[in-house]
Amino acid sequence: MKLLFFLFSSIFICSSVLAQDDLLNEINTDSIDEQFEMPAFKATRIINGESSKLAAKKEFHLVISHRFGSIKDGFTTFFGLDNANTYIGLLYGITDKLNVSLGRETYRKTIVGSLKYKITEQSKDFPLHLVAFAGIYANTQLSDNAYPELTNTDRLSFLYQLQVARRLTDHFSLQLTPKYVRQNLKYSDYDIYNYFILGAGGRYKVSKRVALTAEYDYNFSRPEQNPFKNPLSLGVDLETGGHVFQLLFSNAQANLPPSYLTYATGDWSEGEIYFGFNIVRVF
Amino acid sequence: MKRYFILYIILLFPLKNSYSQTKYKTEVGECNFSASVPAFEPIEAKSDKLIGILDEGTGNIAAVIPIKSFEFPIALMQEHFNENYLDTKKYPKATFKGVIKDFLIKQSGTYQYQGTLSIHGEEQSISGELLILYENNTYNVSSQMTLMPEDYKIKIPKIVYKKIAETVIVQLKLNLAPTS
Repeated sequence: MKLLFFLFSSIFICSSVLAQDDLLNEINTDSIDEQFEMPAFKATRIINGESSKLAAKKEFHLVISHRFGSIKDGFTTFFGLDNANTYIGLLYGITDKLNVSLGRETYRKTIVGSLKYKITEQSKDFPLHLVAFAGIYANTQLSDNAYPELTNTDRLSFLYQLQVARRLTDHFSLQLTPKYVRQNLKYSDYDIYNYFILGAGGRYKVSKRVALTAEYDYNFSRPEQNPFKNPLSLGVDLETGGHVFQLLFSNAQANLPPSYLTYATGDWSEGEIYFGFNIVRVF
Repeated sequence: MKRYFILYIILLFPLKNSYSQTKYKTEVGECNFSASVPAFEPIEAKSDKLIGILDEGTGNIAAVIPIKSFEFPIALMQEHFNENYLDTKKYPKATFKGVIKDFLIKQSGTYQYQGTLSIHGEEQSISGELLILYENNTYNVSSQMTLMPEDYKIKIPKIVYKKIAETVIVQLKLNLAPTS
């Protein structure tokens, strides 16, 4: 009996020494399973608004955006394609946490300069992406001849916002964005100077390279008589290696924040929708 | 009883021998790969987080690498690699386990190996050549392997097909020191 025990124990020791799996287990430590989160958004914009994504250090983005005329116009303007509002901008990552951007849009011949700063990233230590954004926008369309009393500060608008984003699942990301918009000029009696807005935007990945996006901004400060609408945009993100191509429909024709947030003229219920796209080329 | 005891000692003797031999290990092994195609921007990444272990007695060898540790010169490429190709969140590591054929203790030389490589949740048997230099009580192991992404169910979409090589060349370097 004891002989049997000795024999079995020897065989047992023998087999455990030879097993390769044990060798792998010795180094297969769980520290490698360390959790990490992917960015919530692929492009630096959800649709019209900024996303929590930044350009990496020394990364250079060329952004070209078009917002065409209302598709309600039908064949007379070829569903708005005749009337393009174009934005061309450059974005540069000074560090992984700080981006600077310069651009110009056709709508009110607006020139923009902006800064974006990543405060923190979603990880196992902190559940949210927090990004601060500040932009200064100059309306260069107003001519001094037509408005002799206009000063340069009247041309300016400002946007300050905090992007609070989270990738909730591998497919779904959500962002809440409290915004403050300052318009230095009242274009009509219905306008005001200071707007407080809460934006919500999301992305749902349909496949590895296709995502659906949506964005809405609720304006808390808009006076009742003010005829403009809250912007609602729906889009599709297509990833093609070095590009992100964003197709979208929105009731705002303007591209840049203070304008699209406060002067959206379209109405989804009446079909006053603008088609557009953003192309981002990463260098 | 005494006879059984002697028998037991005799049976264990060859095993005891293998116990006395050391395991050699590193946690800073180097691994780099290239999937570049001429005329397109280079697709290359490297990592120095390769963990490797060698059992001198049996010639068994095993290695594991966190996929996330691969660094690309272009941040966007790294993001695509983790999110679109390797599904790193789901499959955080690649592992190898195998045996070096006719392994000789403390001998430099070129050896054949046979084993199983697991990447992206897919296991494939693999064999090839290892160059081992034994110096200063350290095994310096280097090897190169050629892998096909499709063997590991890593799908490359048509739109970038021409920019990514069909075969990926992987280079490994491990300086294995004895474990205490």
